[in-house]
Amino acid sequence: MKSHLLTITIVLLSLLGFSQSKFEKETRAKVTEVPLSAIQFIDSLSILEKIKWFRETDLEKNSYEAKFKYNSNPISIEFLEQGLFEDMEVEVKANEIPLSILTQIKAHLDTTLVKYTIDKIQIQYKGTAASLQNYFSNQEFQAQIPPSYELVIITKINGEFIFYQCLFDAQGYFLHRQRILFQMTDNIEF
Amino acid sequence: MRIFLLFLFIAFLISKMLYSQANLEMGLLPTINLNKKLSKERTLNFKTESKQQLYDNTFKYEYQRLDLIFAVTKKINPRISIGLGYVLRIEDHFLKNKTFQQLTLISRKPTFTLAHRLMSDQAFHSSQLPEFRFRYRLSTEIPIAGHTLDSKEFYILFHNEYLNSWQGGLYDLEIRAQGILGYVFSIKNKLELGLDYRIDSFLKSKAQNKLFLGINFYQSF
Repeated sequence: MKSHLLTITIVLLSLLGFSQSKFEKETRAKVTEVPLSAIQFIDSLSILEKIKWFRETDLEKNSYEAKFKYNSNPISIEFLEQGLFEDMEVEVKANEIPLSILTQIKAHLDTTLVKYTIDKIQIQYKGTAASLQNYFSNQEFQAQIPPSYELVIITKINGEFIFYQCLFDAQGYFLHRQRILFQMTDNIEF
Repeated sequence: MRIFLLFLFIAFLISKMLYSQANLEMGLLPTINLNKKLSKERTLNFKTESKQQLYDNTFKYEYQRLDLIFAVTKKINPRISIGLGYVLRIEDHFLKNKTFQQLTLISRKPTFTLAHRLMSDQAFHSSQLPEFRFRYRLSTEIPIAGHTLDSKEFYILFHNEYLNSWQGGLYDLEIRAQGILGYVFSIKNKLELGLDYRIDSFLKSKAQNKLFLGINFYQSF
């Protein structure tokens, strides 16, 4: 009897979950699901590392991402749903971006946040297929649009630890920030 | 590779138990976890765990006990939290009181989440000597689809825990291994189903093997 009550309670409580909203979702995609033009684009870069494909869905658009490591840097190349190249993100360490830009970024963070830690830095490149191929052949990215810098910042505001994704332009000037929400970790805490 | 090794470890433990002459107990271990944020740093957790025995060298059903667990945790930085708690264990003929203290370190890797939990607990009962335990648990949560765990996605969770216990001058070691398949309904709730294998008493006498089917539900408010 007690076990039946428990089962009913679990089912009823779990139904509450279906009313929640979802803003962004990333799922693993098979190569056969990815637009052919995106696969041909990646093939043309002659990347030797293993490539993993993902489908990203949010309220505005669907896109595909190819993820791999290149020269020890995690790289993500994003394509629009039709397979058109959108941008490339390269994860780097703080000492891999120009000092003047890092100084400008820190100046903004110092004035807007009391205390913070930089958790992750990504350089975001936009451009054409030719400029991307040039990046993989000689490490120079001839971008039509200058790169921007995407940082994950951990800070404490009003006693709460908050993760922000902040975007800075090519000179290190602040563009916008967005709060990152994580899944609850109650199942690995208790 | 890491997942494969963990699978191998769990498979080894289960096969060893099934083919050995050791005592074997099997049952159900459903839990309900309710979490409520008390403030920006503090969380209140209430958990119920009932142990239902299905097999103890012969098949028989027995509702053995119900644990009511209350805990308060505080984040001391984005990755580390500390907690204090109380357990009321309700068995057939008696009540048992437990207190516990825990420290959890959560590390988010690009493709999985790793958690270390250090815990000490103290159990008190009017007709038994107090029992003191010091525990360490390593947990790995791996999203099945994508690099991050999102709503309406499945994940795999592995726990491996070592429990050192002292009671009346006697020491024992218990080892637990859990392999779980979970599903995230939303940012506030998830459901897990998995196997929980436990072995104890193997240091000085015949090993006691336990295998439970765990069903865990988590809800945050």
